[in-house]
Amino acid sequence: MITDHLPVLQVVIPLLAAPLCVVLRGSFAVRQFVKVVSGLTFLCSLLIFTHVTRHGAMGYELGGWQPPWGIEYRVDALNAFLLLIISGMAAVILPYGTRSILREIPREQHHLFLAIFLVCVAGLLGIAVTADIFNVFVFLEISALSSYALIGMGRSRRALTAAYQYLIMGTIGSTFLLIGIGLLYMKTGTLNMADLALRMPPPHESSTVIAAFAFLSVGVSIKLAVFPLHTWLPNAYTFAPSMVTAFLAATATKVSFYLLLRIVFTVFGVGFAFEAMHLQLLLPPLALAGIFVASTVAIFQTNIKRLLAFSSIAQIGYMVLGLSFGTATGLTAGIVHLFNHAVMKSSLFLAIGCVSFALGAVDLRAMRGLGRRMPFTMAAFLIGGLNLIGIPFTAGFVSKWYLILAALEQQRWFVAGFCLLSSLLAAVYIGRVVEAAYFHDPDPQLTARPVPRGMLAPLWLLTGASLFFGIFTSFPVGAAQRAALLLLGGAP
Amino acid sequence: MTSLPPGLLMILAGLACLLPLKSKRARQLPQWLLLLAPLLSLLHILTLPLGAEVTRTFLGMQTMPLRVDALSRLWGLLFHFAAIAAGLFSFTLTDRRQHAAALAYAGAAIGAVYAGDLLTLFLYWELTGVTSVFLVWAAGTRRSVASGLRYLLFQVGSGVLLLAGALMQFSDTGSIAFNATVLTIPGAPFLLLGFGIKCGFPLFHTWLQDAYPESTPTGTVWLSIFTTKLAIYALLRGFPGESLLIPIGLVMAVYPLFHALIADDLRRVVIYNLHNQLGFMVVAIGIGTPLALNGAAAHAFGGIFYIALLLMVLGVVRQQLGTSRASALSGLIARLPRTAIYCAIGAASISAVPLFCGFASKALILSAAAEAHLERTWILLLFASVGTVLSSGVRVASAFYLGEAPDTAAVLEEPPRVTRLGMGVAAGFCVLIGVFPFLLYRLLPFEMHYRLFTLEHLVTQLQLLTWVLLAYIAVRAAGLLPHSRPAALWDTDWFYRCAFPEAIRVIGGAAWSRWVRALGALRRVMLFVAERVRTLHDAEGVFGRTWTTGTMVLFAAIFLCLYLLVYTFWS
Amino acid sequence: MNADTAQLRFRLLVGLILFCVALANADILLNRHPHIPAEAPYGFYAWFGLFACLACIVLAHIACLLLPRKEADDD
Repeated sequence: MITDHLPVLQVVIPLLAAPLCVVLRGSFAVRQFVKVVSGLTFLCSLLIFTHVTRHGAMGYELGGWQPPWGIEYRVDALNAFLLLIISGMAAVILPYGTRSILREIPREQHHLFLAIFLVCVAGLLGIAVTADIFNVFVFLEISALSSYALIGMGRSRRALTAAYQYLIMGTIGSTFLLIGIGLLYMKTGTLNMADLALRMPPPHESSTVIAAFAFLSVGVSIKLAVFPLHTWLPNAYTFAPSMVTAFLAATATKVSFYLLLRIVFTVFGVGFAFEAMHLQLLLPPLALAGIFVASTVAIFQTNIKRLLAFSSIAQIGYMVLGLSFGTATGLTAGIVHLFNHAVMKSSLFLAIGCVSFALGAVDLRAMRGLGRRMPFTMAAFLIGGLNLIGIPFTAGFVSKWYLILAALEQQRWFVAGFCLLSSLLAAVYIGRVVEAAYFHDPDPQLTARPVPRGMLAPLWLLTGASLFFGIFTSFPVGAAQRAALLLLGGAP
Repeated sequence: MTSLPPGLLMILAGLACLLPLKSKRARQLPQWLLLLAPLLSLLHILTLPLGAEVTRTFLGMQTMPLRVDALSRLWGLLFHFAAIAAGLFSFTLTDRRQHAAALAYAGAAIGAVYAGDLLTLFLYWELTGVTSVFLVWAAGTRRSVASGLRYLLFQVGSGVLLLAGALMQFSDTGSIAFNATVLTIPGAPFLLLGFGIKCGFPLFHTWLQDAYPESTPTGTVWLSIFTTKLAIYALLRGFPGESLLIPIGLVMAVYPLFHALIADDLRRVVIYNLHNQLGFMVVAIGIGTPLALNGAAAHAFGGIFYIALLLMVLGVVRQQLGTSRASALSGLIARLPRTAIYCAIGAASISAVPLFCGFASKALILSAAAEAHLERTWILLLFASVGTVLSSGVRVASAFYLGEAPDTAAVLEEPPRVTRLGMGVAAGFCVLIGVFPFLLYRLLPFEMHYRLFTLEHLVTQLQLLTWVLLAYIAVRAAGLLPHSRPAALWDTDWFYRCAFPEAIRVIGGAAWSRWVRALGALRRVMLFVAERVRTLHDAEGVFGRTWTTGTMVLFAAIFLCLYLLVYTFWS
Repeated sequence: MNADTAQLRFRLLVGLILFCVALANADILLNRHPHIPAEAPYGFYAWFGLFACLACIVLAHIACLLLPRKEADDD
């Protein structure tokens, strides 16, 4: 019985828990409460995932109204995987976060902060689970507004500016999306994604549809931080509180990528996107430019959070590159990188959050001698860095492997070579941090507080996961392959 | 037990060296691991039966982490023996980071030779590069840091090329098995280049001369053993008979000799000669007949020991006298008689004096060239042999055996017994194989019937050696030897180390003004490009700094227009 | 270098020269099986050793003239 309602429970649990946080008020109570809620949410995703893997896609009609007039929630192989990633990240990062916010956010604001956090989680889950394109916009706005607030609550004064810039760019992105949705509605009369796919007129008949595709692509590209629309991301990640950065880096861009996949493959279809709109020629230059520019900028950064933010932009480039191939291997690469990047980036940001907690600073000078002062945290950072470079037996290697295979399948030697070259760039910027940590003496002026185990445990869980899924690849790769085949097969 | 990867034991031992143990006894653990781990690992590989193979599926590919055949067994034994000798030599060192790096490096090299597929090879290949760079960095000087970074780039680069070749082969043939291949298969050229970088192909060889001398005395010994011979193994397995290797190998055999004749620092001399020996092996692989391939393998086997021995001797000299410059050393036999014996053995081996191992292997290669009727190759190889005798055998030996003893007041001590034992093991192999070559010939992977000790071989070799010696003495007596210089000659690493303004200025001092201007212009162009990249991408640059909100929005609007136009007019 | 050592060296040198000449003529006693036409001549290896050594040294001198390089060395 419960299983029938799982798709909607997935969103309802965090959404209803949020106002309860406001009611609860006390910092301690709220912090324990959110951990329980995130655990329940993760359980929900797990049940959905197992159900979908065994029985195929599951649907839910909101209010009993049948689609395409009613809003439908539909979970197939692709978004079941994504739900697992989002709720899993929330469940792992919240125990970490409830410790880190003790130092970063005033105690009287904890209940508000965690309430907004839960709203953000609900919004992201909602985007993933819904099959109605306008509902996507609604949840997108929910998650976006809450993330602006979350980012703005960072300690530095620049957090407000960063949140403001993100707000402007994010609103523009959402507006473009809305315009695109509106144009599609005008042309087809429906808002349900499956129905849109059926009623979509071919591009040569309608310039409205072309315009809709343009608005939708640009809107999602802004949210996804595709080069050159990525400029809001570095500051937003740098100045947000540590748990917010880790969570957003692991989930927000993944959800945007999912949205891009849905729009390109489910709503418009492979024929429209690749044969008519030539995405396989338009996207790779942007992706490659993003990878190269972001990696090079990262080399010169001294603030480690900013370095990791630029690194994220480069990793997003990999995902977009995988999409642009339009083949099963390419999509598998992109989707498995959804998972792998979530795991490795969140572990890196959690490690830096621990450094920030202990030392109060995250620049290169603070990193000096960290290999001796905080050996476990630094080791976790090192492993995360190896993931970024793509050393074998790490999760990062698996994604790169499929990406290069996909490039070679289509005989795109330059792209394959470029991917390998970008590993060298990653080696340089990670190498700078590693060199400072292991080959220099610690700065005597900075004193290190001990990092609580509640923060180290999630960090090491994620680090271990990045190694585990680098060796035992069957789970993420299998899920990604099923999702890829589903996307290429046509309507959900 | 059979399926345990061979190098793993030593890699784990290397990691164990890093454990921060407190008690005084426990602090000696790394040194004992240095001795025990290779021995235990040797016992392990002796239990592996010939022909054993272990396969595993990873990422949808058939990998073979373990393959034991005659070739890999030979190299496995070789690396273990060498690790034992080097371990004994470095036993007295207390720096556990160097021991960790050395053990992990040796273990990775051993694992690589037993790999049956390119992916496993790639893993161990990169591991050797990453662990060995710490041996370079262990010297702690600023030069070694910079040199190590350049070394790392070359090593990782060769691994990346290997991976590229492996992936291309996989996507074309569906298999990543590591077997003999030809250049027409997609990916094979990348494999060739990847292997070649690690064994010093021309134009990609400068890391050898750059990084090896910068390491510590013990570190240089370890470094000289594994990387280059691993690359030779890979070439031997992957490209036997590839005729392109013959000219490449000839350049490698001849070109470093001139550097070696002129370099002042004897470590550099020996390393240039290592390069020359690698050239012989590469030529032999290129010739491709069973005799030639066996010659390459035998030369690798012996070469490890005499090069390591010479580097050990020089390491001792360095530790005692603080320098290894030929111009500063003479007549050391008076003060370090025992070390002098090892020097003599090493010099005799590298010069291919009969009854030493160099002769046993060089004769195979030269005979193979002769039998294949490759006249010019044979003559050049013979010429290179003469150069080797001159530049290493005679030059290193003259530091001990010619000239006056140094009159420093400092007490020169022979190295401790363990260190001497290490040198003894290496020297022992040189002599053992020299006197009983059939012990080595039995282990060689290909069928051959070769009699080394024929009167013809012995006499002709002795004729060559004695007349070379005579000529050298005459030239030396006439004072016509080239003046040895500290850094010898320019090499192709000028192209990437051109940030040495003094060097450019010195050349400008010579009368070749047009030459100088061209070099200067090229350097300016390269610096300009690097500077542009930096200004665009650093924290203040266009891409690195925070854009104003207006700029961001403008770009969004521009993009929208672009997309609309492109989609509308191109669909 | 005292007179004894000098005389010893002189004697060694003479001995070496005699030995070399004798060895070079050992070709009379050998049955040579040259695979390469170049190695057929009488006393080939001796000549080759002599001239190759001289050639090496000459070429080294030339290389010195063309590509000299100064660099501060370690030690």
